[in-house]
Amino acid sequence: MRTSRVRIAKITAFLATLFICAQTLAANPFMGAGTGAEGRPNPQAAPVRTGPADLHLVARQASLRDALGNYFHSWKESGSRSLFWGILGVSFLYGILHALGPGHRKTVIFSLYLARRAPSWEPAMTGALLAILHASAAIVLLMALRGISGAISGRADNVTIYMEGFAYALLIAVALYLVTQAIRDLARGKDHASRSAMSLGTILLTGIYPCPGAILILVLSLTLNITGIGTLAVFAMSLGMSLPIIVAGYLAWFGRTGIFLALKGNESRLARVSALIELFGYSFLLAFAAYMAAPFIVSLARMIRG
Amino acid sequence: MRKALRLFFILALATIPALLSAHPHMFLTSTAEFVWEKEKLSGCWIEWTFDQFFSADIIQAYDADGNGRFSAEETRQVYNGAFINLKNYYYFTFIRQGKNRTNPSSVTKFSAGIRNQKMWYRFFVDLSKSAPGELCFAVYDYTFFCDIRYPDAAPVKLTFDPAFVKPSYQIVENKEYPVYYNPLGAADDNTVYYTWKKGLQTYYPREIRITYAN
Repeated sequence: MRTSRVRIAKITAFLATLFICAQTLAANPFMGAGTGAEGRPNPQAAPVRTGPADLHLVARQASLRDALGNYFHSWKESGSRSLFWGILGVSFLYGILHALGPGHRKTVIFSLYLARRAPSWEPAMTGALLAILHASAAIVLLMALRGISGAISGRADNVTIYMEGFAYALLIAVALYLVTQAIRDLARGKDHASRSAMSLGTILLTGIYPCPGAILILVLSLTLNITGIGTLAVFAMSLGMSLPIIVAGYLAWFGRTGIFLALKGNESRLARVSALIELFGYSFLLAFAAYMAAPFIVSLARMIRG
Repeated sequence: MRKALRLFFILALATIPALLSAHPHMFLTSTAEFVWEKEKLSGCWIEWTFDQFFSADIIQAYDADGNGRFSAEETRQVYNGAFINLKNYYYFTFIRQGKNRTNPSSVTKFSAGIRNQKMWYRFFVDLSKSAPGELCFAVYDYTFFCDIRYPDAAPVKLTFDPAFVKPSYQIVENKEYPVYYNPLGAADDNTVYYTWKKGLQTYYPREIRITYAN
């Protein structure tokens, strides 16, 4: 009882911190963080690592978003069945392109299914769950920010920065633990079934941060007062987003399974290779999470130091 | 076995570049109108048209009376709430004459409006101190938060009196004069660098290259 109360208190404190951050900071270059008492800009944490996008992918996303915006406005005027399916179809396609871009846990899922033994249905289930968590977080966040004064997206973007940054930080901690355990078990020749469950649980947990693309869809639907179709569009988008994530999972899963089939009949070698692949997968996950989270962690450390 | 492991490694590495690129959160098109007074280039009007999603957010936040127009007071609020912070990002505006690269320290005559459910901003960049000859002008967001593109139709307008000057333009990606930014900098570290240093990443601007002579 006492443990669960402490846990609830911790979660509440974490969420409160996020929303306090959202009140004072912003990531959008147009809106900024505002200024403090002495007229100095408020401190900001940096988002996880970013870089230039593929121009063709961005152009296609821009065109789909424009079409989706037009459909929303038409829906506001007069909803029809063809428009309904048009909105869901465009959202689904947008989701696929969106998840082909950065983030969305493709490399994380790839590393995970490289490292762990899993039934054939699991990458599909994990990918779908991650996408749904990603979109659901956007819906919850938008409902929480509904009614605030000023632009919603700036606040939401800022919360996303913190949630994504902390998600990667958590991933670093868990991957570090998994790597050390894998090394220990490799030396001792122990089983690693319990670790597999932990890695999957953590990766799902770190998927709970809002998707900026979904937030913007919801903002437009909110301003047009068509949140019902906006929410459905976000779930259609999530379904589209799950596809690249699932493909990444199966790419690793089939590769790993292929190696194991090739080594069938040589048990001692199979066990050694299994342990080595697991170590490689978790090490890759650790390196990737650290690389991605570095800007966020460095900027957070600067903020704390003042 | 070794082949399979090698394949794994290659696949894993191959996934990295896609994940290091950021999908933009905002999309906007940028047009530029360069204005000459007699033979002298006086400045450039920049007009940005935003995507419907960001537009909806700004409209709900600042069009207080909901009449689809921004009054002087509403425009002031848009300027303070959703524009002036860009001074920390050089107004996304980069000017180059030869090797000399500058950014506007301020912009003037800001206005905002709504057209076909999309927000637009318009403002003036003073170029009166630029030397005649060639001037390169680029609008981009090196933080990759916004995707800024020049529209296919009429991205640039040249307003001049042919009796005094006959300018021309082309849009080119400049591989010779990239800008560099620090991916490990805090979000408020918006500095761009013109010489590469360890740890910096590269951005190649698409420049509007104006050529004119007195």
